[in-house]
Amino acid sequence: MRKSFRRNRVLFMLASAALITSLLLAPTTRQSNASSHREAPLITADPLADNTDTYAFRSTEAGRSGFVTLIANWIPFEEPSGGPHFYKFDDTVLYEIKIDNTGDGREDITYQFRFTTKFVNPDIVLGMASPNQALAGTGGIEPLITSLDDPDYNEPQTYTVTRIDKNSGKKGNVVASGLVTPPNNIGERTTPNYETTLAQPAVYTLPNNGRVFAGQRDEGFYIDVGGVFDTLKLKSIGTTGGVDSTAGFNVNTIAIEVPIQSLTKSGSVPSGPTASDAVIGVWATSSRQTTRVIRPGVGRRDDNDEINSGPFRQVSRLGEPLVNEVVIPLKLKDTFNASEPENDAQFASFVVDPQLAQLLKAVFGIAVPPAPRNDLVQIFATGIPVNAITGPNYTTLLSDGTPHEMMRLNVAIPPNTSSPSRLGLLGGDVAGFPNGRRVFDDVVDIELRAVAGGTPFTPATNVAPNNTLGDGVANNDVPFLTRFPYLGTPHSGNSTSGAPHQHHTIDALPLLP
Amino acid sequence: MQPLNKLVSVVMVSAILVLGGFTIRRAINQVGKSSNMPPALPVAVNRVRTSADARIESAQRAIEQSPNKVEGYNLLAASFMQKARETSDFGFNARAEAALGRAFEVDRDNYDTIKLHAKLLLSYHRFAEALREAQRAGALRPDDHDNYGAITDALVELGDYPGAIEAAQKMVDLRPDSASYARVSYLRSLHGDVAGAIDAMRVAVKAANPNDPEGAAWCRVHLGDELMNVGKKREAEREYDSALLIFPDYPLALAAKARVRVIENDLTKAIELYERALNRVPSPDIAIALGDLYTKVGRADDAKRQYEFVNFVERDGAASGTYSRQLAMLWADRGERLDEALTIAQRERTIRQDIYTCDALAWILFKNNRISEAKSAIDEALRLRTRDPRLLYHAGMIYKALGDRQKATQYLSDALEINSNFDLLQSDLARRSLQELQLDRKRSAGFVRASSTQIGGK
Repeated sequence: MRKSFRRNRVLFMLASAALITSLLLAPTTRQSNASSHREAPLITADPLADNTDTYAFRSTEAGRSGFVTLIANWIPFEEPSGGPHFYKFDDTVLYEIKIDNTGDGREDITYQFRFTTKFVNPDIVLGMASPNQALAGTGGIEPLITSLDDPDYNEPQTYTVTRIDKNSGKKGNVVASGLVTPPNNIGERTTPNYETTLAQPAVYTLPNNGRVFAGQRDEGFYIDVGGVFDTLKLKSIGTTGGVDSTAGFNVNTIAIEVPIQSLTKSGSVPSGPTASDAVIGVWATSSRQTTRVIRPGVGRRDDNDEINSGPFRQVSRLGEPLVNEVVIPLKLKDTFNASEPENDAQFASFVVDPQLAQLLKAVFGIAVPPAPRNDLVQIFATGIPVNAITGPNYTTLLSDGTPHEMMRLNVAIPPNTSSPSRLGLLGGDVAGFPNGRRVFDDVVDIELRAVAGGTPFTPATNVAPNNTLGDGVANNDVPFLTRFPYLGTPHSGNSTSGAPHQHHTIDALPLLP
Repeated sequence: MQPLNKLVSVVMVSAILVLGGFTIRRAINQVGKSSNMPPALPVAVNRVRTSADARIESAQRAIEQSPNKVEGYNLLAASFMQKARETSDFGFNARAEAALGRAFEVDRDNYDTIKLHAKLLLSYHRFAEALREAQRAGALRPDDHDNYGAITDALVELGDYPGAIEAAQKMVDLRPDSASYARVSYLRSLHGDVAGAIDAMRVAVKAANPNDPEGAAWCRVHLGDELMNVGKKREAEREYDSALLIFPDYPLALAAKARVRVIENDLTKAIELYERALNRVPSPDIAIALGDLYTKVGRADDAKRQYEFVNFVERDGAASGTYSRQLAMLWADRGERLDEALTIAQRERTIRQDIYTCDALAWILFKNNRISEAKSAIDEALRLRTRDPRLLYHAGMIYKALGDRQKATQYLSDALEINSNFDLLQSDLARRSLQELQLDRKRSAGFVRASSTQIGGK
């Protein structure tokens, strides 16, 4: 009796176990949620490979006048408290800054950046920071990460800088490797004294006496996104009154400072602003490797084999600010992102007759210059010729006659350290946008005025309000640094100062999956 | 059941299954009372705020300002679909559908509306319609890699694997990113390239959007699932833990981790995980798993509550598209309602040729003692040489019943080699069946040896 009861009980247990396991694994591990088939994420934005801004300017830091600083940013709208993994560069992305010094829209010099993440304690799932020493009984909790090689920096990312000179014929020259990116600015306990303890030590000097930095920075781009994208319903067209939509967000920055002569066509410092080697074109890209869906010789391979080893495809590109957002039509954005400046003739019509100009005309009831807008073609696609403005020897012309959208910098125009203007050329400051771009240049106001024709290049429309347009935001929320890498200290993920962070900007952007 | 009652009940259950999540619980309280119509737009967003909410609000503002522009409705639909993912409450998909309906009224041929509609149809498991819609979108804009994701998914579910490979290749060539790597991973996995599947999903994890925690967690869960398929339980569980850290209480990750805990015989933890998962999404399979775990640890009353819920959903689940195959497999494994299960599986097979539909048909035919038909079906299920222990186990049992000892032995040992613990009981059954086969072979080998000895006369 007892035995039979027990046997029944065992059978029952077995039966329930069968039921349990059959149910657990019935839809197989491949279809682990009953509520749906295998549905890949809906949002297909790719922020880790998304260029947000490019900057190029003669270094303004004392003693660095023989250098050019190139900065490229990635990963828009980083939430400072975005743990546990926070924001790293993507080890699988090829990040590049490219320089054309001949005007054909093809890169002559390329700086490549490849990242590798290490895991100090691979068994922990805490992410970027982990109290590894406290857990091992060899250290405390506070402060947690006090140096770049602190064992509590659990996911340090190192990188390699490679320089490719098209004319040298070599595949590429590794300039530096094993450089460390600082952790994100997580908070006062985890990353105390962030700027001095972690960010500044991550500025490395290169063999040519230049410098490099890769890591998190404050988002230095300032704009009233809501006003601009809400059919130009600007809250103000003055210097105040707008809302800095990017305030409170961080980005990931790669900044490299190199001697002037390492970028020019001649390989030397140009004799003056009108010299034939004075202007360079700069843009940044990101590329990902494609792969064969079905690999040949499947089945007998080891996990460690190079499996995703197909060619790189460019997925993002950025030279002049706001071109992809404002000039290129929505349906061509992917095409533009995958394209090279040498083939930009296909996009010329959008610059020659931009929709934004028609919108400005309709919204503000103003006259705008008629198409074709050769003034805009010069700013964005060919460079501004010599003697277009009276006064200084100013030119950004770099063109073989066809349009190439790049950020053009005349490296022979000295930096303005005495009276820089956020409005660059429109503010009488030839060292700023559209001659390259400094971190503080107010590109939104400048471009709004340029598209409206409120510039000296189109005298008939260089009147108010065309030449006073703006989004009402004239300053960044965080002070810029006066030294390399110039962009400000990133917001702390555990900030107690200032207003609670609002998410309005991400949502104001018409992001469709 | 009277036809009319049955119809009402079918409609009821279909609505619930489509609405899903919390809506199910609400519906349980209202059985027979309401008609579960999707609410009118605009709607207030309730409960926990997720990253989709601000977008929903911004879309509603856009619609308010420009009710005759399609963009606002598209954004609203996309945001509701995202909200459905983030909350596991698939009731939000009905709101997405309503928004797309408005969008189509404004513009029948808007690219984004059509593409979103294709994605919504995929969520509804209306794969053939989803494919047609995605192809319509593709004709309008052939270079949008995102739409090739929808085409790939539909073709995979319909069982057109060569077509799916072509679409996924196009997708990853147009734009390699997390979404395209995830498709590459799944197709490799289906075609038996486990190492390649793991590798591609590792890249998908690295490339995942950090501002989309649900999506990033999704990639980690699927990486874990691929690792489970090669028996790397510890690594897999770390991915599930990581997913839960990124997106706390993610039902997909909770259930996945619970599977590891059950295999490790850590039932207390498994129960806790399933309870948390069920609290987020009351899906029948989690309810049954939890009910059985309760039963096993002697909590009969708790178990009964789960079974009552399952019975409610099961009662006419056969008529709804969403869970039908899973319910049929459930009945097959339990050895009950085999006629009904077979009807479902056969009907499903007429509209889909994917390997899991073929597998379900094979297993149900086997349970109905229709072995030679089961063999044809399981051969179809294995046509990609998928390294899935569950498929191989089914094949082993079917070939054993056919008397093909060699193939049965091969399939069963393959299943156990991939993961000796692929299923607590079924892997024991697989082991026992394999032992029987080996014993048979020894016995007959012994007999042959014995007789040859005799013949040899030594």
